[in-house]
Amino acid sequence: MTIKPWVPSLLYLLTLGIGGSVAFTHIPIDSQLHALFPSSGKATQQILFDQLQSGQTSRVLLLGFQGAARDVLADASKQLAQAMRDSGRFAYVHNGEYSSLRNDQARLYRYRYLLSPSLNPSQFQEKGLHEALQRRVSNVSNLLPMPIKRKILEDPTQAFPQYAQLLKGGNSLHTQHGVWFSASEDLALLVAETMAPGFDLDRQEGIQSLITHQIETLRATLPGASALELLRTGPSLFAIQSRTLIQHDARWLSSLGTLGVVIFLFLTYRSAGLILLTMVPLATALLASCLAVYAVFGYLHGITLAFGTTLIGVAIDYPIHLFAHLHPPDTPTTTIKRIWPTIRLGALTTAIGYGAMLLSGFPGLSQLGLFAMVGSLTAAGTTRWILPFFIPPNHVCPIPWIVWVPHITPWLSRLVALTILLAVGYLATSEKPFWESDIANLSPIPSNLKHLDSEMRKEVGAPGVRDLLIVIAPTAQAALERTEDLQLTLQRMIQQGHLRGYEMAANYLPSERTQRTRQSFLPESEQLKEALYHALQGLPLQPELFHPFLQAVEESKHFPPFTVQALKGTPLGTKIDSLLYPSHEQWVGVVMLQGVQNRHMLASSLEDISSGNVYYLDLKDETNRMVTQYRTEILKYLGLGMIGLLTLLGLNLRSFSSVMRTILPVVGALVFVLATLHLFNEALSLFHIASLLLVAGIGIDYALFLSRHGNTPQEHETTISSVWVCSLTTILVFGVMAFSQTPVLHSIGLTTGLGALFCLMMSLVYSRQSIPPVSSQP
Amino acid sequence: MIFGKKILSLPISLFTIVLMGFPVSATPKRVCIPNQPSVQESDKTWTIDRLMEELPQGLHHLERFRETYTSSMLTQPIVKEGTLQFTPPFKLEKHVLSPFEEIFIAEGDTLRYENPEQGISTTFAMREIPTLSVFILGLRSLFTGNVSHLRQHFHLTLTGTDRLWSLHLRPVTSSEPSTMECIQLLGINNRIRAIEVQEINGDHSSLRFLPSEGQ
Repeated sequence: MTIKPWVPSLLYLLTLGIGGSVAFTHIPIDSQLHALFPSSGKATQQILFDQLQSGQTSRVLLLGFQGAARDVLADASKQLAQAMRDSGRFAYVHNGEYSSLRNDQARLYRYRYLLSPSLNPSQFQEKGLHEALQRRVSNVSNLLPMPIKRKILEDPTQAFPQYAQLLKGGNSLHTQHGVWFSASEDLALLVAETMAPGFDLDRQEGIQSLITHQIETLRATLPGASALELLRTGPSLFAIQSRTLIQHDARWLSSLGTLGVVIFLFLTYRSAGLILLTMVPLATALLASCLAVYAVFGYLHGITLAFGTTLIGVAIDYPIHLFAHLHPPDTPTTTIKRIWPTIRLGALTTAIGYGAMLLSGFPGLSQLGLFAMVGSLTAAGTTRWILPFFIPPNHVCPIPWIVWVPHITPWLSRLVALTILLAVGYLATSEKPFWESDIANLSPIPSNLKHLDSEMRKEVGAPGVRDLLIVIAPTAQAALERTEDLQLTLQRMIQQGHLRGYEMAANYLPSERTQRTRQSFLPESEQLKEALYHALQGLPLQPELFHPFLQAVEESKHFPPFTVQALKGTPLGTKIDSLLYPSHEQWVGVVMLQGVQNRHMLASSLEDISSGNVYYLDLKDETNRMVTQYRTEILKYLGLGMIGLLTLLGLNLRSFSSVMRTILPVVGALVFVLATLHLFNEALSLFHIASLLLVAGIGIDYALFLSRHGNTPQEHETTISSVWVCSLTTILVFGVMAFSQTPVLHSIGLTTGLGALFCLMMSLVYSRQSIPPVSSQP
Repeated sequence: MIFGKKILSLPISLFTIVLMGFPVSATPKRVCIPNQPSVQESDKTWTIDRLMEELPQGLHHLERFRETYTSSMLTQPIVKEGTLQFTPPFKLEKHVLSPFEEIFIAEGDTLRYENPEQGISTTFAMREIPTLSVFILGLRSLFTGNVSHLRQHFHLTLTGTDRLWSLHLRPVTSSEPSTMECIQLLGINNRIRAIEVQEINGDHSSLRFLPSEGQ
């Protein structure tokens, strides 16, 4: 009984699948940015990563209610806000309700004379008091409840309201029915900050489904709210949407591509077993690469997995070549021996070309280098030593159905050469930007959502923060003091119109130094009593109402400074923690700047005052700079890889012209791809580069096979048809992805699809010339 | 309004002022107990239902007022002037113009309090301001002629005639402790001319509508 070829291959793939899933559950997959970059030892770098991934701005959510009458929208806003506060997942939820800030207030109120930003000694002298008390008359002569009025008189200098204004962010939104509305009055607004970092996508998704669930409940239970709509925006939401969009596109497009390939391979091989076998080297390579990276680095970066899988896509070509060359009476083992030198050389060139990245100091790149190197070698090794045993002897692949080769005349190859030169000229002279300089352009978020985001931010006065000042100090107090030292300069900038506002921990929690200074401003009890007595002259206010005031001032003189420990676990505490936190045995103070007009001026004026203690970070600029740095690093090591690759080819082919014949079609194809992308205004990103690497690998593989010294014309035809199959497979898988709406998948798909097409064409045009045989000892 | 103009001739206006005891003395009379009608005449056909039918017709959307506020917190009463504006169905806006500016806007179940000079703009839920919410509830019902709503929340006593009447509103005691003792409205024909509010804590507001320009 002969064993069907699909039985062992299925068993093998199953074993791999189980091994793979065990590996995946045990290998930690890291998606932290800092894991991609070498540690420079600079604290600012770590802070940059912290700010980008989990900074306060990444936690902000903006919600807008529409689609119902205003009072219904207001009710919806109140009920959702309550549910959100009750969930305990938010640092704060503000929607304009009076009760928004109540939780922490009692404690903060007691400390008002230490916390209030406006405190000064003249407030407690006769003249200052009299002016303050004059204003209080209006506050008590109305039908507002007695406790509210008493509270006002307890704090006649209004120390607390000044502080509370800071807590509210100082914005004065339009209020209707007790909640914030947009200026156009058709959108009820709510601002919240999640406890979870913005890019902890799983927790953020949990939060979003909580909100969705609440909105559904409101639609069902709140009268008049059946058509209630919720607009949401925020960095975390964008991250979730990007992930969902990419996953969605990747899933269905790759399913479509895979289906296409399976149908195509089935038409070609007419055997399910061979289709399964085609997957064996790729699957083995993936598993081996993951394990190798894990063994060396201890974790696998998400980017390594994504890019690495693209890079080793060439592995699918090895079994295709093997199947194409099966001719009875040769057994699979003898066939593989015959073509092995070519596969080996292809795999080695790929391994060396990518492996150079292993030497990079960037952990992300060296992981990618290792991944690609192990992957291509494993795929080749699997094709050589495992695959032949799965193929039943005397199996014939009925594939030579495409043997079309353009009729090559010297005229045609010269035309192609001329076209390549033209493309090079076009690329060299074009003035369009070659590289994508702003990674924001890679975001798959539709522009209408981005527009909504900026509109809602404008409404609630929560602009996306791009500019930060960072202060590093040995202790929390020192960090607070240093940020406080910036306040004067920042205030001046606001007055001059260079800045709209700023936020720092010291706004909410002044340093102990400042608190003690304020305590020193508070007068002695007798002194204050006398000042109050004189201040009350001519005012219709009952003197005995001010006992609590006298008592509070006296008490405040002896308070120990208010510390962040007193706020642990409260919404305000969370906010302070994000603006003042320990990092590498030091303390980091963050100042978020809003509405910076001139970044150069800001940077230079800060240099003047800070004497090197304050760092200015432009998050957008820094991010793009990091990406550029990454790209430069990749290109540097690819250059190195190319030298290795050429050396290897030279050693193997032992002829300059043979090396050129292998390399030139690939270079030509790459030039065509670049020119085509450029023509269609595709600025190059890291994703294009990863795809171009795959194209180069494929191209070398085709060129090696086609320029192999064919023993017979029949053998050459077989090679041509196997290259056709390889290239059509690649075009099918990646070509579909080019139709994706998400820029990342689109660039990978388009580049690789075009690349495979051009590689095929170039190889066909330049393959006829006979070249010396590949040294063929396995 | 011809009828209104004729009625609000000078003698009557003066009479009303005298009637309401203006200027208010430092120790105000409590308007609630005993429930003594301040208008002696009576007319059997003059009922609450008739008053409620006629009141909305006489409604002026913007009225100027003078209010005297007396409180245990104050050593002497404060006299304030401003405008009261009602926009059907429910928006009520009290704008104090002197001696300081203050704005109260009741809309839905919230009240916005603004004090421009002090930069205060606070929104209260009605449940946070019991006295004012009862006051607002009463005025809304009167201005919209919603008699059943009024009866649901207040014990009502109407005295006087259709020319000169007094309506007394005492909140129906509910489970929540009330801070409002009573409201008394004095009116001439279909116009409310004065509103007295007595709080349980003794604080008292006496609000009198001023004749509009040209009357």
